[in-house]
Amino acid sequence: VSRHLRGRNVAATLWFLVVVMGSSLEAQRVEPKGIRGARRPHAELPPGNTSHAAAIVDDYFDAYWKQAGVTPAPLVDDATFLRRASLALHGVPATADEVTRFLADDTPKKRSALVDSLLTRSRYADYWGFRLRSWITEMREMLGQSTNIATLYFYTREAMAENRSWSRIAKELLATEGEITYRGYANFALYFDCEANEVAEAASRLFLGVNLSCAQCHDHPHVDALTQESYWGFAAYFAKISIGVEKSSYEKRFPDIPRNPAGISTLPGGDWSVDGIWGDDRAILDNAKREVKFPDPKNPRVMKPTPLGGAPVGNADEQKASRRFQLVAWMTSRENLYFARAAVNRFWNELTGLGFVDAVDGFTPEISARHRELLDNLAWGFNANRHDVKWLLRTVVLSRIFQQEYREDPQGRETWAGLFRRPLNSDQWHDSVLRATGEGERIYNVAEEIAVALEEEHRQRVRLHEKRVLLTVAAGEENTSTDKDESDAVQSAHDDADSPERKRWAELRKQYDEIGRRLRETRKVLRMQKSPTNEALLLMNGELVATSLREGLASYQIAKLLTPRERLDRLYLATLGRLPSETERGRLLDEVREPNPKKIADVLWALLQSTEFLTY
Amino acid sequence: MLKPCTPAFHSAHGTPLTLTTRRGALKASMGTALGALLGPTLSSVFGGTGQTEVGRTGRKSVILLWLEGGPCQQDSFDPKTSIDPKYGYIFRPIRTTSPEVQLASCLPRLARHGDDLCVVRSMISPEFEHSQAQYFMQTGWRITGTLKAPAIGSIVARELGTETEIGLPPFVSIGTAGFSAGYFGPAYRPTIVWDPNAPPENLGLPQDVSLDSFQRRLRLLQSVEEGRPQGSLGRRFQGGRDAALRFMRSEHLAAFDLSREPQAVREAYGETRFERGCLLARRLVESGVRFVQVRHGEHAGYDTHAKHYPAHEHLLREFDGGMAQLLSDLKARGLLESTVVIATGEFGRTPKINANQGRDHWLRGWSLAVAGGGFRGGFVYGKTTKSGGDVAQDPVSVPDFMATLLHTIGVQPEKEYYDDLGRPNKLVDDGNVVHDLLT
Repeated sequence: VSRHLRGRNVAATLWFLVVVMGSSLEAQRVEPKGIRGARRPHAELPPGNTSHAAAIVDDYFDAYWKQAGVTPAPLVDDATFLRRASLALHGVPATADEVTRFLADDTPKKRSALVDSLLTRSRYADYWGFRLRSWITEMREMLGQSTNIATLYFYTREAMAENRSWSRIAKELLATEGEITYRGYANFALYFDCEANEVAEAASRLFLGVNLSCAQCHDHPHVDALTQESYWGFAAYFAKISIGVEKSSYEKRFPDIPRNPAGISTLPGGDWSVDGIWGDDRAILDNAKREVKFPDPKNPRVMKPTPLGGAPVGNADEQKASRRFQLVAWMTSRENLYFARAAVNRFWNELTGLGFVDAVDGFTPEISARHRELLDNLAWGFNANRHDVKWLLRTVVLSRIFQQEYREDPQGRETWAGLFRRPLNSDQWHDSVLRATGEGERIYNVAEEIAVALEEEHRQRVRLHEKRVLLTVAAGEENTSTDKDESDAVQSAHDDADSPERKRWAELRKQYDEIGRRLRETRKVLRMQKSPTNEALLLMNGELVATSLREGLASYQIAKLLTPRERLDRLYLATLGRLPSETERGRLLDEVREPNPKKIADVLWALLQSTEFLTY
Repeated sequence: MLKPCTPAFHSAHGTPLTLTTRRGALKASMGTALGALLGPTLSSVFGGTGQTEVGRTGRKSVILLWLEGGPCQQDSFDPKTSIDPKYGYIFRPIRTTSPEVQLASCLPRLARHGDDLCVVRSMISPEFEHSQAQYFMQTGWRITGTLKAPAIGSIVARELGTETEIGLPPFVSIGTAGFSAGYFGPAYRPTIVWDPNAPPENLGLPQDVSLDSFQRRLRLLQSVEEGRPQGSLGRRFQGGRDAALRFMRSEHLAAFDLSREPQAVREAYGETRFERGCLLARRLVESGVRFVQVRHGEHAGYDTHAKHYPAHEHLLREFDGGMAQLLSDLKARGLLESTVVIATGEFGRTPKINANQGRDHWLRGWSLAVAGGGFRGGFVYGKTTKSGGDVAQDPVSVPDFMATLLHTIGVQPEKEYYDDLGRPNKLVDDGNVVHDLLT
């Protein structure tokens, strides 16, 4: 009985961590320590000397611009840097308080200190977990049958939280067998319907930066190495994957594992704000008998696994490692720069909007890229740093390129002598609205209250249970009627769904689920493509903005500030991460003269629609 | 002229759309870029007749009644006479106004439109799972890793109509977000109406925002943006906002307002969302919208793997009323010749009843029905075997049907567009127009 109880304790505690403790995302407070909240820093920062790496980028461009006779845009001010770095690494701008602190901070190297701090907070994993999942899911119009993209997110988030190397992520997504509920990476192959060539295409796009798809039906018209032969040879690496549909057939190999509490989502609404929790039990296995055949109706010959631009592997099935592991070993070997180049280009593009090639999967086996020398240098560095993602992010964010002001003219674009504005992605926008309006903070407060209440409930249940066990044992020995009565009383208190406490707990749970449902739906809707008209309607009249302005704490808090100037400053800090200029004050001070939350919400609305808010 | 508020026209979370606007409140602060948003058009009144001349041009429209989950062919358009209980078939074949067409007995009202119906009983599809099959049925392309094909509504929107001509979106999706516009890009995504009794998504102002407050907000936005660098993105946002505001105050918005229909018409259609959706589809087509899809079936819809009959009977009776009334109405208004009405799901259902009294997915021979728009009425194409299992005659693939549909509305199925990767793609690949289906 006690073992059973302990098991339940663990399970229940985990449940709290998963569902209740979350919500640090919008927390405008110091991250609590210890098990409450499970918001420990996730991984140490990479050991590599990153400022040196950023200097490589800077030196390269200094020389390049000088040679090209280009004057680069100046570096951005601290407020812009804070906003840009926070959006890039956390998917949400800094809070007004954080902005004030950062602007007042006069320690040298505060920018690199900021980046270090951003990279070690749990919000980093929340956001980059979404990014990695989007990179996978955006490759295709819709998910394959039974894919569980929620557990895929738990995986991507955990991988980012633990700062797993990019090669380990490749190995898990591409080569590891597993079932989808507890091993989210197994969803990768399922997402592409477990079709050998579809999975191969996705693998190549994500990790080699090469889009093979046109070679499915014919040799590439312009790239000699991309033959139809090479396509199907590459696909042969995935010939043996199959979907296990009978849980009994694989559950011994893949027992249920508790998720790492530190790797659990801390989104508002807990895990429930991750869309798409559904799907059956499925596993990805390496036991198919099938082969990949060249699609020539006259001569459908069996293809041997062939690395891109390489020779077929003759004895692939005689080796101990599965075909898929052989592929990943080839991909991620230190000599293979495809893998590192593709990663450098992908992260660089994500952070700056600039790419060494035209698309994240725009490489061809014969590499032709802009700034090839720098790309290769960074690729070597990425290899030398064991494919450490945080090393790469840190290098880019601390480089001059990331810190430049915006420039939109053709020369600036051509020579990377300035960044151009990009729209926030849907997750960035969603979380920016929650943060700026104080709706995130309100949700956090609710969640906190619920967490406390549910913890209390849990403790009571455990106490009752223990008492019952003791009483049952005692009753077995002496069997007095008083004991029996007391046991019954305990039992009925335990079962009484009408007791006020039980009702309150149920009500709180319901509230919490409701918040989660709303956030989940909103995120889902936001991820859908929209026409510019519908996008504008969503921004102006949509439920997220409406609810956040109505219920968020910001307009009430700001209305309480003493002077109009304080109110306006706070509005600008909360939305745009900077103080208003004197002209802006001149124009808008009158609008916040009245300490009326509704009027404040109107200004907040206008700031939320501004180009500056919607871009970074 | 000011229109009164019509209480029936409320958004799920929003205010009534037919707001009375005060011209006087709008005179202030024009002149800069954002001033355009506040221009004289905002002082026009939401409303109008909802009728345009564009609806009477030579171009056709399409109404897709999307039967989510896959309805059973034998219980709808391909009824069988077998009395073997393992096949179910509790709906017997009934006669219709056309000697050619027989329908299942749960479609009595549609039976009165037998001479309008073109029934295809020999549809085949290779896609066994819902999401893949829906993608295939909506785009005519099997899902692959790279090609993101546009859905039929997006194709029609692009080929037959644009917003600027009529002040209304060319593609409206009722009760469903619809499918992706693929490589056509988000501009060809539908305008979504979740509830036919409410305006399109996000069109109404939020409940706690008055028109005055909205105007103040727009004015504040102008102040915030003044002198700030906009760049190409800023211009894009502004363009979207302009269009959105135009839409919000379009005189054609009345097309979305079912309360403008006479009571008798509303009653003839019925109260359910689907029936109301059919009425809205008619109003929209009348106003020049080129493609309207109406989803039928909440949640899993027709996907009755267990307890098939109670669920299917309920759905089919509702469907029967909605589609029959839609056809009568279109006909009475002389719109049926220019409007294709399609009723289909993504596949059919197994002829045999399974252990849970349900029917599973079936691809080897299923049915859909079309009416109007140049399709041959009172006509049945294709045939399944006696037990309803396989196609016995004249199989029609999904791309075949798609090609036929595009051909009828005057769009070349072979027309090519470049996708994201710069590859040319036909609108329909590998589909042949089935001329027998057409007049």
